[in-house]
Amino acid sequence: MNLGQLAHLLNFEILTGDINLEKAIKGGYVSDLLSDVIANAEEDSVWITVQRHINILGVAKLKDIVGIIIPRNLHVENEIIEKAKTERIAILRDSRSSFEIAGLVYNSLTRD
Amino acid sequence: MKIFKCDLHIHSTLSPCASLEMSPKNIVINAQKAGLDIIAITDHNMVENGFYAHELAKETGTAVLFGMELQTREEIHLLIIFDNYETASSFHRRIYDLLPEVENDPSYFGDQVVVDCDDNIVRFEKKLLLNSAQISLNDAVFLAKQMGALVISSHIDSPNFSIISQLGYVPEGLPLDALEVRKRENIPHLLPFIMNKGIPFVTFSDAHYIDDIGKRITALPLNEPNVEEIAKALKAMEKTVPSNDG
Repeated sequence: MNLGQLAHLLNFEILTGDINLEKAIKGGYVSDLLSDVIANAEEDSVWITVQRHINILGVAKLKDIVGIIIPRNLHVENEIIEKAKTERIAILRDSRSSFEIAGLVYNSLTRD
Repeated sequence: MKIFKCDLHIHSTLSPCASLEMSPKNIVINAQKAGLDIIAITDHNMVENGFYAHELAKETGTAVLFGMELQTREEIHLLIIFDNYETASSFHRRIYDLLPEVENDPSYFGDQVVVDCDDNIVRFEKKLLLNSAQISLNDAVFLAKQMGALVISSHIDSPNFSIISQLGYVPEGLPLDALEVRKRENIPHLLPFIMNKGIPFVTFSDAHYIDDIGKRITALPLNEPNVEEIAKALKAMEKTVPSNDG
């Protein structure tokens, strides 16, 4: 399943336009500690986090993460969205909690 | 007693997020221009560039202390400041071993460069420094205090990497010398989250660019520009919250 299909299936809001929508998703990771993500996230995954500062893009790049999913419709600064486009990291958003989003993503990927 | 203008939170070329203009030489020159009496170079989890700044500052008269901005396991930033390079270096070696073996990606985070007194590149640090050393807040504070450091919790009014953003409050029983704030006007809002009464607030620049140096300072009355004197002056400062003595 690619990011675009996942976003469409689960009705995620896409903040970064067409970035990475065609990229295949192999897994996911949920954590709000950047160092934990650096240590444990796998490439080609989506990362669910409440963190929205500039360093999330660095971590996503470092770990070859396809997209970052922001829960609870939390606000993301325009500056971060623009930088994400430049760095080619997708940012998606949803009204549900990290727990619910993780469950939905997990089910979608394992059924795939 | 003389009043010393202190800026004890300055990043250099060794911090990936700092400008490559921030060589020890440029920092020392601009610290003098800014009228600073004491500075500390506090790179993320590193102390090395402080050595060169200290050498250079012998001529300008600015006192240079040896610091680092440590990132704990909880992703809390702490300013750890020593009087001498040997102790700072031995603290640093312990921290460096606790940093994960993850390489920096300079194209995104920026380069991490050790630069000598003449602006020559000594080496590039390969390990990603914007990462957590695998040490808890408690262990880090107690280890640093044991080794004679000044320990200040970084920018506690920041939504990222601060003791309040990560823990929700400043726990009791943590022997911090001070709490750094970006803006003094935030102090009233922070007070309910500070369990540890009587720690003074300080402000420093957290400079990443040349023009930031000395933008925010804390002035302290000291006999000598050293850690012991600074700790004493901080203790004597107006307390954050009066302790409840009955």
